Parts: sequence; structure tokens; C-alpha cells
Amino acid sequence: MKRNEKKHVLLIECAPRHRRTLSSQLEARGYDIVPVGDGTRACRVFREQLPSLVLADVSVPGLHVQELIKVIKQDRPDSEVILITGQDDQELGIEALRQGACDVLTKPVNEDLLDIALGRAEEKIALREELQGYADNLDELAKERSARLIQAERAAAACQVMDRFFSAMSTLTENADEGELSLFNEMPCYISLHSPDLEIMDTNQLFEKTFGNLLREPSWAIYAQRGNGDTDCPVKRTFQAETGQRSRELIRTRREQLAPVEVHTLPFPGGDNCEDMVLELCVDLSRMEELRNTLAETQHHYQQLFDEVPCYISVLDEDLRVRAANKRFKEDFGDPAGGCCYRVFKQREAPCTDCPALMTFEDGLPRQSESAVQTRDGAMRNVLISTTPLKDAQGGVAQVMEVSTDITRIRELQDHLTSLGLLLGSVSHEMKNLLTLTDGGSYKVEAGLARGDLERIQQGWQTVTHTLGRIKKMVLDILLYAKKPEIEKAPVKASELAEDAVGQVRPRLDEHGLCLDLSLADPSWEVLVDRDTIHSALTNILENAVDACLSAPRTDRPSIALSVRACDQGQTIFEIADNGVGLDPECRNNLFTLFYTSKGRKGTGLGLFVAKHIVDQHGGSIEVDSSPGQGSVFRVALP
Amino acid sequence: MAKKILCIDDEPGVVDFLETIFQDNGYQTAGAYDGREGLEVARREKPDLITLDLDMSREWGTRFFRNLRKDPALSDVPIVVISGLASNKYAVKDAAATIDKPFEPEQVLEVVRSVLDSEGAG
Repeated sequence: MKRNEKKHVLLIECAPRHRRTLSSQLEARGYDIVPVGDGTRACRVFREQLPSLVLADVSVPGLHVQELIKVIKQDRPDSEVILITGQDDQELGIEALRQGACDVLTKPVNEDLLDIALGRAEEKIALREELQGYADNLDELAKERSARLIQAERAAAACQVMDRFFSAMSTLTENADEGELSLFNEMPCYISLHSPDLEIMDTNQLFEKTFGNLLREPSWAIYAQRGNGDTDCPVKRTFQAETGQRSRELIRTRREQLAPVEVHTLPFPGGDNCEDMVLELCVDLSRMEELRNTLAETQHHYQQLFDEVPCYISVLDEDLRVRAANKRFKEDFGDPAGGCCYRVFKQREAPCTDCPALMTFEDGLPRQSESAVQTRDGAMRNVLISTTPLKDAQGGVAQVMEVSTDITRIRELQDHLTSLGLLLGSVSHEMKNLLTLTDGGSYKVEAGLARGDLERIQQGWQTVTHTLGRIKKMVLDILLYAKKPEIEKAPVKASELAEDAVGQVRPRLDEHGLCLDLSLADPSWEVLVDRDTIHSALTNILENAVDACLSAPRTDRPSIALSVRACDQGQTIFEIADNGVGLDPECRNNLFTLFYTSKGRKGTGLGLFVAKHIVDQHGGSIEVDSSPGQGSVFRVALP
Repeated sequence: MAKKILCIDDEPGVVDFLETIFQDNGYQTAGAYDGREGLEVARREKPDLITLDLDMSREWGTRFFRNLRKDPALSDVPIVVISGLASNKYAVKDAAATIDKPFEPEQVLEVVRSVLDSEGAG
């Protein structure tokens, strides 16, 4: 209650004279009087007015003093009561003092005593008000202190969260060595916490190690631009935008090294009693850059391996579409661009039967198979295909890698070796016969010498030379087949070639009385050929004609015609015609097949094969017209 | 009387070689160049021994051998197989002997003599 405020006094006095005196005395002291003459109304009026002071004459009819004090102490405990008693009822006054009345005055009320009593009551009231004020202040103080406490607790909680965050981070870093998180360990990450005043509040170990102790330093202290007085930084932008920021910055370490970083910030709303904060994470990109370079380098190495390995490598999906292919593959089969392997490799419209890739898709096991494929320029290739499953994280076969090794050359060599084996088997009988014949010839020569029998010597010698000629031809055929010599072309007169070949078969012609008709269109005509091999080819065809004549049942004179002429296309045609046994269609079709012979064990099946091979090597061709009993015509065309 | 040997081989030079060896050593000879001809000559000449090549272009020696054995007059004539085939030892089961080509004249004479001697003794 303030001093300048009028104090209400409830004056309970029934005697008008006393009431007037007291009223004037109280008013003079600045009180507002609420007079009550009827004792029965006293309690009600008090409850209505709640005055701070009650002055009551205990002799007022209807007034129960004890009840009044009780009501006063109950409804407004800080109101003071001063009682006025007569000479006779002092005991009542004493009892009232016990109950809490402030003072008791005796009638007639001495003005000085009243002053003292009023002063005491007021003092009491003031004291109580002061006390109340203290009490109220204490309350506010307590509230203020507890608010501070809550704030402190919140800060502590925030710190705890950060502690846990950092410790989780460091645990991750520590554990990283043990498992898949090693990358995390490799990845430098500076973590700091910032206040709205743009001060660094907390940092992680790596931060401190790199930048030193920057607590309470400005948030931009780690950045390279700090020297320019530029205070812009991700934390500042985060406080302004109130959302997380992401940017590339340049940092300067305490050793003055510059490094690019990727910065992520995250605002932490503080709430009522806690400041907003910003968490900043900086990832050092220089190490990332290094890792990225290493990765790129490794990728390049693998790409090179993938491309340069001497195989066709393709990666197939479940529909057998080629999803990746190496350089060699693309060179020989074109860019598959998602095409199906069976179309790329074999120009098929459906997967091959026993497709190894499909089997690998089915059971996840690697497969190997051999196949013939066609390159985009139409060449056939023998390939050995190996399939390997490429599994996804769940262990399922996501794709299949097909590595195809070109074994065409190996196959050719193998075929060649096989046919050499066959050749040896096929010629061994003929060779043994020839050796036996040579023995026979030399036996006759020796016996003739021993007996001085010249005729026998001549017979024997003829057998020897004849047999040697056969042996020579056979050995040359084998060598031509086995070695497949490189041809060396030089201009040779066509007439010389023809005459040489005829010279080679002349002994057999003479022996069997066969006639050969040689016709040359232009004796000076030249062809560009390898003389030795073409000689072998023509001789083989002529030998074949001789054999055909000898095999035929003779009704007319056996004869052979060899003609040489130039045709319109600039080619040279050697035509060898016989009127021998002739060939049926099957024979004609297999004529140039290796080891095919129509002469039983007499032939090696090598002669015409070698002839065809040589003519092919020269870019020429051989045509045959023949029918059984009618003889044959061989036409050799050389460019 | 001199024993007669029939030489069958599709290579005339070999027949000539064998005949020369045998004639030089006091045998009579006959020659044939395939199995069919061989059978005809055998029936006509009634040889004491036949040398036979197996691998002949017109008819294999084994067929000749079967046909020969069917002829009662010829079924006992001893056969000496002279061939370049590695398997000639097994081709004709009851051949008196087998000789591989190429051969030495002495080797052939020795075999022929011993076969004819054992025939004579039997």
C-alpha cells in the first residue's frame, strides 16, 4: 500500500458524540472513515470494504468482538484492529490483544494515545507490507533464478547432444579401421558449433588439430577470405536464411595451407531459454580429389585391360542384350548398342541352342563352349566362349560376362595337323610300294652287273629312275601341302610352263604309248606366276589325265590335249582334256577335296587338292567338265 | 621239278621284282595284278605257293583268299602275305607267313623256302 493512498478505517462506535470526535481526529490524520453504529453490521461491512484499519468500541450493542477479530484475521490478515474499552471491560481488551488486536485504548480516548496506537498500527502494516514486498521479490528472484537454471540445463543438454554427436563421430572414426567405414576415416571432416554471435562454440578433434583452438573466435576464422576482413561465411548465411546451407569454400589451416572444402551447415533452433546454434561440417576435398584421381586412374587401367585383352568381351543382360563390349568386340562385330548377342554374333533371330550365357543365368555357374561366329565383314571365326556370372548384392545373377577367344588360327593349325596325320596314313602304303619298287630296280641292276647282263641292268635302272620320279612327285606334293609356301610371282612364258609340265609326264606317256597334243596360241605370251608351284599344279592335273587314260577300257587311242590361250578378260587359260575314264557327278564334286581319290590305293588324294590350292593362291580358278566314259576337261584360269 | 610260285600285286613293278628273285633262285613263276586275275591264274597254273598283296585297287587280297579257300583244288595252297599294311598279320588268319614291304630278297626267299619245305614234309 502506498503512502499517498487514503487508508480506509472502519469506525465502529455507537455513541454519536464519540463517533464524531474520533471521526474528526481520524480524518485529520488523513483516513477515510467508514462509520458503523450497529454492531451486527460490523462483520458484513468489513467484508465489503476490507479496510486496513478497524477502530472498534467494544461496548457497541450487537458487536461480538472475538467474532469480528476472527473474521478480520481470516479475510484480511494484514488489517490491524484497535479496540476502545470502558473502565469496566479491560479484561475483554486483554483477551482481544491475545487474539491479535493491535492496541487497546481506554475511554475517554486520549488523543496522544490514539496517535501512538494509530502510529503503531500503521508501522505494523507498513512492516508487513515491506515483508510482503520482500516475500514477493523473493518469489520473483526465485523465478528468475530458476529460469536461468532451466536455460543452463538446456545448454547442458545441448552440449550433451553435441558431446554424444562428437563421440559418435569419433567412435565411427575409431571403428572405421575394422570394417567398411574406412572411407569415413579417410575422409577428413571438420565439425564445429556456432553461436548467433557468429562465434565458434565447440569443435571436433580434427578441427582443433588442423586449425588450432578457435573457441570464441569468429565463425569465418577457418576460411581463406578472413584476411580480407570479409565476414561472410556459411554459418552467417545459415543464421540469416534459417535453413541448412551447402557450399564450396576455401579454408586456410594453421600451417597456412589452402584446401578446398565442401561445407554443410545445419541450424539448431534453441527454443525459449536456449540460443539458436549452427552446426558446420567441412569435408576436405583435396583428399577426395586425390581419391577421385586414383579412382579415375584405376578405371582407366581397367578400361584399357577390358579393351586391349585379345578376346571379345561382352556383358549380357537376361534378354541376352549386349550391355557393354570391349574395343576388339566393336572392331570385329560393330557397336552392339543393346542388340542381342545371337544377332550380333550369328545373325540369328533366336538364341542358339545350348546357349552358355542362358545356362549361367539359370544356375550361376560359369560355362565354356565352342562356336563359330561371323564378323561384320562376313569372316567366320572359331571362338571359345567362357561365361562368368556377374552377381548383384543379393547374390542373384544380374548379368553374364562372355569372354570369347578367337581360336580360328588354332583350329586351322589343328586341322592342318590332323590332315597331316591323315596324309601320312594315306601315303604310307604308296611309299612302301615305291620303296619296294626301288629295291626291285636296284636288285635287277646288281644282279645284271654280277652276271654281266646289260639288258637286266637297263631294266633295273629304268625301274629305279621311274620310281624315283614318282617318289619325287609325292614328296613335293607333301611338302607343298605341309608348308604351303609363299608364292613369288614373276613373269613366265605360258608356253614354257606347258612344256615343262609335259616334260614331267613324258616318261609315263612314252611308257604307256599315250599321245599328247600340245597347242600354244602365242608362244611369247607371258603370265605372272610363281613358276615352281604352278609347274606342280599343271603337272598334277596332267598326271591325273594320264591316270584317267590308263584306267579307261580301251576302245580308241588314248590321248591328252593341252592348249594354252588368252581369254578376253586378260586371263590365261590352260586347258587339259583327256578321253579317259571320266568322272561321275560325285567324283567331280569331291575332286579337289583333300585325300579324295577315285583310284583306290593308287592315289594319295593329294594331287588335285594341291593343284587347286596353288591356283587359288594365284587368284585363279579351275573348272572341270566331265562325264563317265567321255573323258574330262580341266580348265585352269590364271589372272 | 621246280616249284611254281604265283605272285599277286597290283603294282606291276613289285610282281616283276618278286618273279625275278624267284626265277633267279630256280623257281617257276606266274604273275597276276589283282585278286580276280590271281584266281584265274591260280586255277590254270596250280602254283605250289602264292605271295599275296592285301591292299589292291580292284579287289582286296582278303577276298581273293576267301575265294581261293572255297576252291577244293586250291584250298591247301600256302599263302605268304607281302603287304605294306601294318595290320597284315591279322588280315589273313591262316597265312603261312607275312612279310612287310619293303622287304629284302633274302628274307622273301628264306620264308618261301621254309614254307615249301614244311609243306613238302607234311
